[in-house]
Amino acid sequence: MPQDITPSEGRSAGLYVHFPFCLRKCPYCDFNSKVAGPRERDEYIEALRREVAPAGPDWDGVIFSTVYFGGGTPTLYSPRILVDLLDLLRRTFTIAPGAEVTIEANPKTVDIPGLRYLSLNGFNRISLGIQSLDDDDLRFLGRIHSSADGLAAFHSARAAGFRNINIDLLRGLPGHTPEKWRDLLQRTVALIPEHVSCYALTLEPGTRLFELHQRGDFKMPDEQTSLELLEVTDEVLSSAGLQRYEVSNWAQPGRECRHNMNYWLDGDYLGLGAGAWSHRKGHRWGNVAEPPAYIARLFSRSSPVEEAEHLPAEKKLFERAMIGLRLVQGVRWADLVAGAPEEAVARLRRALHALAQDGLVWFNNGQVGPTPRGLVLLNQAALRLMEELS
Amino acid sequence: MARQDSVRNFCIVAHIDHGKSTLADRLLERCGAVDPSSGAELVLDDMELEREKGITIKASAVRLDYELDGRTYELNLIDTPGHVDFSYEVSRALKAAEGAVLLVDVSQGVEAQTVANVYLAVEQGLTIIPVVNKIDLSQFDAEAVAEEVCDVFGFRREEILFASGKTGQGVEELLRAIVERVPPPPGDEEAPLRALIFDAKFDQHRGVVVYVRVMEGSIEPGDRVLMMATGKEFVAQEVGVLTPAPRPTGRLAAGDVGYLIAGIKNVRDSRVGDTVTSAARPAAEPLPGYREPTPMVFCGLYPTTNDQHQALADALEKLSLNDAALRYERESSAALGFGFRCGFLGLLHMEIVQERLEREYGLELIATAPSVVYRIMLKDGEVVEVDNPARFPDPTRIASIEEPVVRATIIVPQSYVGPCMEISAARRGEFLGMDYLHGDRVTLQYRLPLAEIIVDYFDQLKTVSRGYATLDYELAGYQQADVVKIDILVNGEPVDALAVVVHRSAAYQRARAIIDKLREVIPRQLFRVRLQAAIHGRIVAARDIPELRKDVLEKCYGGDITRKRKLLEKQREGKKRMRQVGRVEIPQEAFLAVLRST
Repeated sequence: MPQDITPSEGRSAGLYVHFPFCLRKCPYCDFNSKVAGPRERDEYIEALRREVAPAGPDWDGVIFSTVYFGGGTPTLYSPRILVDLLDLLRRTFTIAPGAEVTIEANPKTVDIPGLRYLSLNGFNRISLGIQSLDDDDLRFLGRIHSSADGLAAFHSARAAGFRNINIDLLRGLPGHTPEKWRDLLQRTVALIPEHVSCYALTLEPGTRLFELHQRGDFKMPDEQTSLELLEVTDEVLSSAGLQRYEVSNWAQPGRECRHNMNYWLDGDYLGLGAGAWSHRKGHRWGNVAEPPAYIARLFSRSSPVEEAEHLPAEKKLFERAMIGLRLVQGVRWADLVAGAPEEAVARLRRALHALAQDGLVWFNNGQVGPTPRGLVLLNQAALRLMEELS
Repeated sequence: MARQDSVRNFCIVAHIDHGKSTLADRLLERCGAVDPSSGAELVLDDMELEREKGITIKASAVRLDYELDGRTYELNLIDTPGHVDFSYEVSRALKAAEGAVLLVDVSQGVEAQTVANVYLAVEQGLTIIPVVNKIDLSQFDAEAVAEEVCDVFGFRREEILFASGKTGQGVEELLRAIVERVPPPPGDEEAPLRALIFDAKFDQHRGVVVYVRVMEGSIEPGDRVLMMATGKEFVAQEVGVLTPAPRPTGRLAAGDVGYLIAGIKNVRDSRVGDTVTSAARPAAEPLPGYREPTPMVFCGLYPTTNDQHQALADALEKLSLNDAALRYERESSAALGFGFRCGFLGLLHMEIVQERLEREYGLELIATAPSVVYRIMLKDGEVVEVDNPARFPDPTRIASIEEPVVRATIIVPQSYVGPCMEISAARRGEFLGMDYLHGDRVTLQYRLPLAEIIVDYFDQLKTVSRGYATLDYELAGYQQADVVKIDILVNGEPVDALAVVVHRSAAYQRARAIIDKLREVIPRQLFRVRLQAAIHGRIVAARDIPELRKDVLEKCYGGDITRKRKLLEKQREGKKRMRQVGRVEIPQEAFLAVLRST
């Protein structure tokens, strides 16, 4: 039996629910999402309810301090259905008072009354997939909404009572010069969001955009430009009071996404829905990804779990370091190595010191974290750690 | 002589992929040696690699019992390797037979190696039975190929047989022709024993299994035998024939082909071409033609991590038990640490050994660019042989250099002669002559430095001839060579394992090409990498690999963690074939790139 390395005591868990449907599949998206008819969408909710019910006893005694409805587009469903589901979760699991409860939304799928219903009934954080405030960008990305829709969605969310709003942005699109990007960012921070997730556009094999790029239809920014775009991002966001706390995330102090922090700090989480992953004490398991298969399993009373793994101590340690180093503040050394075998800890220490010498990692006061250079070279750092630990 | 009258020893001469193994299977099937329903195929190729590469690495022999006109004949099929690297082994297999079945693929026609092997067989006085094979491929003109075979080798049309290994068509006629045309083996059973070793394989349980053709005398279990070239003595434990399962016979006598087991632990003690005689009553002299296996191509083999060094040493020792041609000795490289300088018969042999080391022994290896053996005359009169560019003496001490050359035969359709000549000329080939074959095909003769053909030459010939060109070569001595060493520096440090020897006239161009190629294959690192090429200490080409500045996964949430880890694990697998030289990670391709960058 491999040794468990369990997270430090007293930390609570996260609860994730996946909604795999969208009005339209975006050409850059490789997530588990698709367009589906009303029947499949209804059956999916029923399947989710059937997955929730028996999970309760397994997670007895665990306090969930965050809930996250992600997708896809959760707001394809009516606010009533979403709230009913949240209520079912509250009845089934122990959800802490004051828990962070997030819902992702596409700007085209929201209005003030609906958002108000959500905010009055337990959702206290909303993540808006605005992506860009430039209509050319949005057309290139194949989004179903305009920049005006994005702005309207933001104002609606505010008007509906959301005090914690995230805006998703994509940078490094064709034509993104540092100047143009700075302008887009300034229009974004003018909205005063509590949180911004800003990702560099990546072309994932299998997506339409990837193919178009292979065909030579457009050019991606070179390395130098993409580094400059990142610099501009940090400059504009930080002067608007949004601090970078993870590779791609900026927030006002205290508004860091607690749900995601739990992932990066190697906490436990329960994932519900098609393709959702769970983690508990070194065990990780994932549900079958295709919604029809997920539905069929739950309707036939079989388990939706498709993949499971138990991580031996070395791998677990590697993973903690790999994801922990995504955080600007880094992780506490004691948390990082808690429960890990001494020999592996020694190797990790050696590897991290080597990375520190190359200027990718810093040590300070029992804390270890990435340097700015380390933040953009995390894959290289992770490879070096893997080499040392395996 | 009645016993020998019913024996026929024959081999099959064919180009790779001309269907030798399949036809052999049909012969075995017809003679009841293989149950056709068992689905066992290609019984002569018993190594996984042989099947994958579609070639036969090691010869072996199978006994067929064939009944014709009320009489049972013992037909011994001696298999021959089909690749140019193993031409000496082919010649020994031919020596063990009185007849040769010449297979020509109806879709390919006569190829260079076939010609070379047929000439070898004719020289040794073998009766040749020409067969046009694969006639089930009806879109090809079997008659035209038959005419070509007549043209090239001077057969009469009525001598040509037609067969299909796939359908079994023509197998009966072939067996009859073997009995009727191939003479029975000669040899006096009462004379002192002389048996020719034409193959030897190491078997984990039995030790070395030696394949012999008894020329004179006989051998029985309990006999003390002497290997005449190596001088080693053993006691015969078992003799027999392969059907293809081993069947002890109690005796092998003049004319017989079979195996001998004598507690031999290492194939080096029973070398192909050596003569087995009786220790008690030795023959006056061995059979003619024994030759020490001569490695022609050398490269360094290094484990990717130092902790595998001992494992590599063990694996080479084990492999060499079964491969008398493989040479190896310890060497060290400033860049790669401890490894081995290994000698091979040719490039294919080298590839096979490398693959076996990796596949069968689980090793991860870096192979340096292959090199030939240079003969260097020093100013003080000393002569040194150098098989490693890194060990080239200082140029100020060198009086002159000689390099090995080969005589190459290329057969190609006339329309591709131009490009084949261009490539050969570009590789310092000296044109010796050209002959026209049947139809539109041409034989080109070249004298070429071995160093110029060990990498890519064959591939290039194939490319410019749309796959039609075939090549055969034989070593043709040494000649004066105006060559220089190119040193490669990585971040200012010379990397000995990347050094390469090239002809002076092409040196500058090659140096630039090597640097360009290295820039492509060495991945970007966390710092700038400076690549330089130097000749006699003077930098003649330089380029930088810019530092890697961005490599990060933007999104990594709960569901991505496993995926991300697996992605990294995959990348890490790719990195395993890299070698850390100083701080720079250099992939395996780089070591070959220095030769492939023409």
